[in-house]
Amino acid sequence: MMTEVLLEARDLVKHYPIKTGIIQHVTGWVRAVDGVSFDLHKGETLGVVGESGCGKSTLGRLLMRLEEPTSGSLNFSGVDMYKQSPTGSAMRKLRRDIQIIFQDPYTSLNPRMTVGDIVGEPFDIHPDVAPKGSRRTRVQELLDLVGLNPEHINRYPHQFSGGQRQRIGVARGIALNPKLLILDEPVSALDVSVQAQVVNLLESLQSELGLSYIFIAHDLAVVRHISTRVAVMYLGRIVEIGNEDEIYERPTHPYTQALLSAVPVPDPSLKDSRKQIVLAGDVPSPANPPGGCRFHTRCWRMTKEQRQTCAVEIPELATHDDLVGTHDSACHFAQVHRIEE
Amino acid sequence: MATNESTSSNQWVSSNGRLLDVEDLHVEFRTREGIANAINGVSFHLDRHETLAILGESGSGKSVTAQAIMGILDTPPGFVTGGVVNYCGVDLLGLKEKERRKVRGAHIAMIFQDALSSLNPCFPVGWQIAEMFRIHRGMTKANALKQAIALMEKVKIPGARERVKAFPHQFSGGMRQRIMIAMAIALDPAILIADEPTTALDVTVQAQIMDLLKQIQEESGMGLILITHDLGVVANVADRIAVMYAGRMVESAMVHDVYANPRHPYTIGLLESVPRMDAKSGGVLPAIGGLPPNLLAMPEGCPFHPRCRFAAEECRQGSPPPLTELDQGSRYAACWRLDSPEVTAHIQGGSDDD
Amino acid sequence: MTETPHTHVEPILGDTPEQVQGKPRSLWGDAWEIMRRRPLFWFAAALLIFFIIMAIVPELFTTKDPRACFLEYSRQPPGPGAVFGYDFQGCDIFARTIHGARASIMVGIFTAGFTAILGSILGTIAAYFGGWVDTVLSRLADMFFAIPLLLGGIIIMYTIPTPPGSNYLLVVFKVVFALSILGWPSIFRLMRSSVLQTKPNDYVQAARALGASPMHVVGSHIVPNSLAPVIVVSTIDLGAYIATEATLSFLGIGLQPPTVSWGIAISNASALGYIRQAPHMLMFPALFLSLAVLSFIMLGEVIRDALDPKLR
Repeated sequence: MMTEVLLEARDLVKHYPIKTGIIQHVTGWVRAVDGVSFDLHKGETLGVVGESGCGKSTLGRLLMRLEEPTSGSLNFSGVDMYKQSPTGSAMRKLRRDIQIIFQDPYTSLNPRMTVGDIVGEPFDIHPDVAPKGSRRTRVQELLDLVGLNPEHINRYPHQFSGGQRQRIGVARGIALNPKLLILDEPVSALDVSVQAQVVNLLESLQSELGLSYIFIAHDLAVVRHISTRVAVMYLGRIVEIGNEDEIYERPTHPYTQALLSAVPVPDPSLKDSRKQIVLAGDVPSPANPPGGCRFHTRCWRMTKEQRQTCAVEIPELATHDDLVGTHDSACHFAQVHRIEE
Repeated sequence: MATNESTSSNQWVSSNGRLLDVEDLHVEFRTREGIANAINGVSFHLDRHETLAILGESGSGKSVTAQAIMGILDTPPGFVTGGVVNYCGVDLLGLKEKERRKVRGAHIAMIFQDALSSLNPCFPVGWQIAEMFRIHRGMTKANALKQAIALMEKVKIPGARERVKAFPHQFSGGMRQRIMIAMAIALDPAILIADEPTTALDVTVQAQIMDLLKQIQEESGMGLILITHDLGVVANVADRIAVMYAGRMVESAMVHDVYANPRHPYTIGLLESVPRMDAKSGGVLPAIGGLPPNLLAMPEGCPFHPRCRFAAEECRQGSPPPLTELDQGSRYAACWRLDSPEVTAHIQGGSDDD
Repeated sequence: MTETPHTHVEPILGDTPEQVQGKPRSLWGDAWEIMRRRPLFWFAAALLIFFIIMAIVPELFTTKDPRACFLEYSRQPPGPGAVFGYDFQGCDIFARTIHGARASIMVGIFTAGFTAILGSILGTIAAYFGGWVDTVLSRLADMFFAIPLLLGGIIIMYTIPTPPGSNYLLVVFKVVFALSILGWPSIFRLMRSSVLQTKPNDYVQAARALGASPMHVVGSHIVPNSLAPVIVVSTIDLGAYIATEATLSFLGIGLQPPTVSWGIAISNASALGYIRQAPHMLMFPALFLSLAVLSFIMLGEVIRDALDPKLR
């Protein structure tokens, strides 16, 4: 299953300064992304899950280079992205290969442009992709591909519903034939009955166009459906990463286990057989994350003896030899825990 | 908890044992583009100790139903044009605004999705909770504050005594929702309406809040109306489910029946289209096609027929199907084709999956 | 739920009721539809067109020369020869009021135009680039903002003296210059905050992700979506600038005779004793001034209502 590596992220770090006072001096740093490394293979979908404030959206923007990283490297099909000049031709070419779909279909489309202008904008910016005369046809092909009526090319975004707008966003995203799409919560703002349509669209586009996806979401059920591999993030770090089966059936990190157990399953007959792990308290502030293992303040599995290790030593994201399966987990005392009996 | 106060509402139960009886509710919005029929004849009831989930998508009228019951509909553009909301033998819709205000909060309370905008940012949270006691019970400042602290402890806000003077923005989303719950249950209401209470929260916090609501309900015996679009949350907490689509109730049944044996094509489609976290569902999701209807231009016949894969000629014209009794009155569904072989055959198949 | 046996229902798109009703409509198109249905808009527009025609071709309304004065008619009330009467120098007030529209409306339109252009450009630069550029521009705007319009106008008008017999346009543009220098900070602030609101929208990010240049992002996405409040406020301000010109002229430091303007006419008419003896001298120019100011303000309000998404 291991194909060519498309994207290689190493130790990505993004810290935002906290400025106070009139002279805006820096009083602290929000550690939004704090050392994230992973590989993405061609044609696969990597799901990134985590709660709000875990840094998953910042990660998406770093991968797009919409934000400049504090440190780290990002290698996209052999090119070190952050070493390129942000406005140079190499970066412009990279931008064609990596595109993003946003969460909110209401703010992601310019309300003053027609659908044709929105979907055709990539060709304005990269005129070499489609010659001027063929653009209209190309835009209509794209609309057709995402399941919209090509005759609606002159409509404005507010004349469409949320699900249709998201399709317009997808059409814009795939216009330049990218290799990688970053999907930042692409279905969470949509109605339940429309979510499945968009998920299906994304899956069929992936197989038709050979795309790779990074699917950022908080909905663990959708992520399981669409992903081949899944990374779980907590306070700016990946705490566990593995293929879909490993994460959902044999999670070894206590945070993943709690997260999975907290998701309500739409089946009342399972209500009593599922053991829910209710975590105490809230996610700590990323401006002041706990030392040692970042999860140790809320860990439900840590014993008194383990505390000395967990509160001091930072756990490596690594495989643990004594486990079934060999996926990476950033816990000193990783072990499988079944949610369902 | 203040049960010795005369205004406690828990003794209020109407003669037929029902806490709330909504009959044939109609609400319309008069907009510049025309009249939008947001709710077209919705009926349901709620008993003590019971959790009723109203399930629906945006535009289905689930939140408008709650606002109409509470009497907090924005008028204009919203107008209640018909129906009865029977609480303790009194039709709330017939009451004067002044009398309704007495019902609100003390008898029927409500919590919202966005706890931050529901709290006043200018006042400490303790003061805002205490205000409930001062206005409705005429307590002194000191007594009211004492009650507020007790309530904050009840909703498990750590360090309640110290944080009573903190302002809303100093709390996390989950804690703010707890404060909202504290305010809502302050006067020991008989009914609590929770409008998407956990939609804005993370799953681990959502679990905490739902646990808290369940626990409060067990203690006080209040009726809980949970308005949500989340099929997972509903499965875990609801006793009964009412499914709404385009301003109508399309199915109403006990929670197990809905999930194991959905009868209305919309419910069937909805349950199928949601991916499950506890099993890898490969391949194409069986999505419901099309879009929810525009309330200003409702299709003729059954409002769901353009998206319904079982739709037949009878569904495309005439009046929408009425809510019909099924299985000796234990459940209801509104569909012309409930007994047609395609729909029933499908149901059997659906229940075998689980 | 493993492989589902049901056939996937193709989405029914494009023929839902929502889509059938609408022709392509832009936000401005929608705004026009809303404005079209309001009588207030037509009233304001008719008045404005009337005043603008008056400013461009005053000869259409009167054949009399506003500078042909006959002292023997001094302060004569309205009568058959002169519908608005005569001023103290014996000039025809009707002719002077008609011809006065040009100077007043020119001051209004040019000042509003210059403040809008200068304020929008600087506001966009400040908000888009942020950092020290923003700090410098914002503090500069604050400095100008701190000067009261009238006081500042008096100072500027006094420090740049106009030699007698200067070109008419030169005098008008001196007033425009003074008012623009003092007026741009309010548009600057408005545009800056409007751009700051537009900037984080995902469509701006999407354009950046496509590799668009800053010029493209600003030109196609940020400015078109930030300009609405500036247009509304500039329209309302236009009326205010006409009134301020009249105030400066009234104080004797705005436009100077022999230029004909409403402000000068009001100034002349307000001299001691005239108001009671010859109220018509004040009434007619003041009425025209008020109507012009009012029509711009009404138009601005109508545009604002039409663009306000909350009213949709």
